[in-house]
Order: sequence, then structure tokens, then C-alpha cells
Amino acid sequence: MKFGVFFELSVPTPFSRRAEQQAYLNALEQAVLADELGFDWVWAVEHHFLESYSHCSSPEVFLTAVAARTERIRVGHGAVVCVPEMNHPVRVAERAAALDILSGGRLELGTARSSTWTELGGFGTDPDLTKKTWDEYVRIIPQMWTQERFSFDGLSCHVPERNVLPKPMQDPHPPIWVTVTTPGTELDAADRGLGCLGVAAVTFDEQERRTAEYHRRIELCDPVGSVVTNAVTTQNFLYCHEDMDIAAHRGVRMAGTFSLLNAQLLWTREAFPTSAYQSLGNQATRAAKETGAPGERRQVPEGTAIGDPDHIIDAVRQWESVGIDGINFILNTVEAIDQPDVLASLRLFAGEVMPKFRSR
Amino acid sequence: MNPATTPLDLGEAEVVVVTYELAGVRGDELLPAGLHQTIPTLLTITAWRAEGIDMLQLRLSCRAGFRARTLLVGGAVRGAFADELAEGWAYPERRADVGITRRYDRVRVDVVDGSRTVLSVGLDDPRPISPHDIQHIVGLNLGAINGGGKRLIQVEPHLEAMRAERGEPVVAAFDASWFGDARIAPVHPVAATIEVGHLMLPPPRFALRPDVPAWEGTETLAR
Repeated sequence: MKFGVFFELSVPTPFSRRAEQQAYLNALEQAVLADELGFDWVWAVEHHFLESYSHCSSPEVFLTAVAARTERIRVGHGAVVCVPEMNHPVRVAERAAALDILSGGRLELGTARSSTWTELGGFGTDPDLTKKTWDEYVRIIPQMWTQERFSFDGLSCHVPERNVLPKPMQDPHPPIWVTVTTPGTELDAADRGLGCLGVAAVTFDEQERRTAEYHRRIELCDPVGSVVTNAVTTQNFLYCHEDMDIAAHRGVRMAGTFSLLNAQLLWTREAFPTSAYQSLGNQATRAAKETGAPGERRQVPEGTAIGDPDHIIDAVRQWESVGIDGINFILNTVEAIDQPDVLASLRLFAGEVMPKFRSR
Repeated sequence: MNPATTPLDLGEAEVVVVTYELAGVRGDELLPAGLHQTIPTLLTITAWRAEGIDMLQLRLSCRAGFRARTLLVGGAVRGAFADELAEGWAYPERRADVGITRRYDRVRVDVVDGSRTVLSVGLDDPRPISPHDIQHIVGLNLGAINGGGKRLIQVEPHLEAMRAERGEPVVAAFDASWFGDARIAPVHPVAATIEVGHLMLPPPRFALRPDVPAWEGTETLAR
């Protein structure tokens, strides 16, 4: 079992320049500590215009700063939005290769297509096309990384023959993942030989079903690159404290704040009718009309890593039992937990929980 | 109003939804304190045409607790069911002529007050899509239950759509002042659809206090 930390770079309101900077600096400090403690990955999202929820619109800059301050931990895009209005495919390949070089070959490239109208509408992107352009990106980026002469004429770009530079340090190229929100995307990942970077709340049973199908399908995959990334990760919250009550109080508040901010996002399906977006966001467990009582509180998902070390060990074991290869943790939301407490939680997890899964 | 306790079957209906983003105003300046804004705030202009009812609704995207909702902020109505819809579901009461005109290259919704066109919107170049691709978000209509305090009545119209089309949204006329708030006006186009299907209104199940968050102010209505 591998462990990662996952950053949205959420910022508390009222906004200030200082609060934004502090969110970045705190995340950097957490990433550096995660490296020292033996975590495997640090991931950063790419989001645009999502006030408070995520101010991480230039993850390559944040991840470069992480890479410069760390020695061992792998740095991951979680994920680059693969629509041409936001990121030209050549620029994605160039920036990622540069980050791979500067990190000493520690890059993981997550790919995505964005879920919100806030972002797609903000860049004038046609939601009908994002699956098609994403599919082009994951096929042509490995070519740009490995071929001396690259050319392409497609929906996402028209590139006459060029040598896309630099080439990444990892040979033949870094691992490629896709973020999985909507059921079925794990099959897209498997068919293309991509890692499955889970970013949605999923039950144990559902995760077990999806993971089994992913592993069955990837054995038959037609890889889009020269590297098959056969791995499934899930996303979780982490707050570890010796006192279960304190852990629950702080951790549940953090998770609840995240879920509430997430619920405020304007999902593409809500604004723009299209078959390309079937669910209302990554915290909605089904594409229902959500006709229930507005007063219902959303429950903390099962298997959440909030509690004392024994509780979290049990949760991680459950994830391990359904075939998960790694868990990526959200450590804080809008600074709901004080930074010293976040760092203490990371240390306690690394001291008491992580060793239980390192020799297995 | 007095919340309905039995459903209202409106039969076969045409439903047009034209969606735009607002500009120059934040959702939280327009919403009651108990609701949360979306970013951006969407204005959905919805027209119903069915036997006994022609209705136009202006709605703002919002959140009640964790739930996606649309708040009714204006409208117009004509037809035999107008009073029943206002009394039982807190739908708009203001009278005006609401018309839907269908041609092969366009669909138009017009609201005419006397001789004055106060709204003309629609979709150009409609193309078939699956009805399942359209997400109708549950509504909240402000009304005073039995003359008491104001409540947001949750309305859940169910459209069993048989066919649907999507086109380019168009606004030819929009008199924001006629609808009551000059800040609420369509600016950036998003999408527009027309559906044909069977429209049913179940009785309201929940009412929310507009001044407090949904988890503090949600009441279950008697059925």
C-alpha cells in the first residue's frame, strides 16, 4: 500500500492575499514533511475560478516548488486538464517534461477533463468535446515525449512536424493516470493502460467492483504510451490523533467543510445538457435528481481515515482488502485545522499507521 | 398559499429551458441568507405549455445545504390552472400571455403584457439529444404558508420526456424591470433546450426557512 498527500489549495474566506499565500506555504511545509516521513506521492489539482474550494490553477508551479524542496517523494499532477482552451497539448508535454527533469525523474502525470461549468464555461470549452480531446491528449503526449519528430492533426491541435522539447528524464516516459469521478472512467483508464486516480467518494463495495473490473480490463489493454500504469488509488481525508474524540471533532469538521464547498460547485451537467457528463459532481454517489430533503447532512464516507491510529489502521486495511494500491489524503480544507495539528497528524500517521503496511 | 396534498397532472407539455449566466452581481446578493450561491450564478428561463397552463419562470441556481436547487425569482402565467399552481406550489401569479412558437430552425418563448413584449428568448438550430441528458434541478418557490411566515417551498415537477432538442440560446428581448429586479438579466449564453413529455407535479414535501441554513430550517410538509 502506498500513501500520498493531495492538495486542492483551498483558501478560507474572507479572501486576502496573505491567506492565499499562507495556504500555499502551509501546503509546501506539509509536502516537505510528507517526503521526510516516507509518503510516496504529493499530488496537486488543476482548478480554475473555484473560489475557496481550490486556488490551485498552476499546479506545475506548485509542484516545481515541492520538487525543489524534497528528495524522494514523487510529484503528481492530479490532474492536468486536457482541453485545448486551458492547456495546449504541446505545452502539457513540455511543462511535464521540464518538471520531470527538475524533480530528478519523479513526475506522475495525472490527466482530466474538468467537471464544472465554472471552469469549462470560463474557458469557452464545449462540454460535448472534452472526452474526445482528453483521449487525444493521452495518446499524443507519450509520442511527444518519445519521438524526435512529432506531428498531429486532430480535434485538440494541429501540429506540423516538430521535435517537442525537452524530453522527460524518466525513460521512456513518466507514468500517466486519469482522475476517476464518473463510474466507467476506470474502464477508460484500463483500456488505455493508465493508472486510475480516484477522486470521488466511493463505498468499499463499489470500489471493489470497480477495481476488479479495472484489473481484469488492463490485462487486455492497448496502451497509449510505452508504460502501462497498473494501479488504483482512492482519495481520503486524513486526521490522526491519539484522542479519538479530538480526531473526530477536528477531522469531521474538515471533511464536512470540504463536502460543503464541493457541493457549491456548479457541475457541468447542471448547466449544459450533454451525454458527456452524467453525474452531479464527485461527492454525489449517483446521478440522481437529488430530490431529497435539503436539510439532510452528508455522512462522512465509510473508510475515512479520521480517528486514532488503530481506527485508521482498520480503515486502511479495508481499502487494502478491496484491492486498492494507494490512498491519497486530503490533509486540510480552508485551514480548518491548525497547521501544527496537521503536521502532528502526519507524523502520527507515519509513526503508527504507515509501518503496518510497509512490510506487507 | 396552502401546500397541495395531491398531485396535479398537467398532461402532455412542452418545456423550454434557456440558460444564461448573470453578470455584475454575485449570487449571494440575490439569494436569501439560507441559500448558498453557485459560481457563476445561472439564470434559467423556463416555459411550460400544457393544457390549461402557459407559464414562464425565472430561476437562479443555488444550493440548499448540500443540494442543488433553483430559486424562483419571477414569472408570468395564464391559464385555468394558474390559481391552483400559485396556491398549492407557490408558482408565479402575475398574469401575462406566455407563448411558445416552434419552427424547424428555431423555438421562441414570448411573454406579452398587453401589447408590450417583456421577454423573447429561445433556441436556434435545435438538434435532437437524449432526454436523459437534461438535468432538471429541483425548485424552491417563496410563499407564505397559510398566511404565516415566508417559506421556500420545494417543488419537484416531473417531466417524463419523450423527445428533446438542444440549440443555441437566444435572447431577443428581456425587460428585467418588468420581472422586478434589474440585476437579474441574461448575459452570457450557456444552453437551451426544448422537451416534449408528460408533466406531473407531485405535492410539495419540504418547506425551508429562507433566513437560516437548510439543516436548521427544513420542515416536512403534511401529505
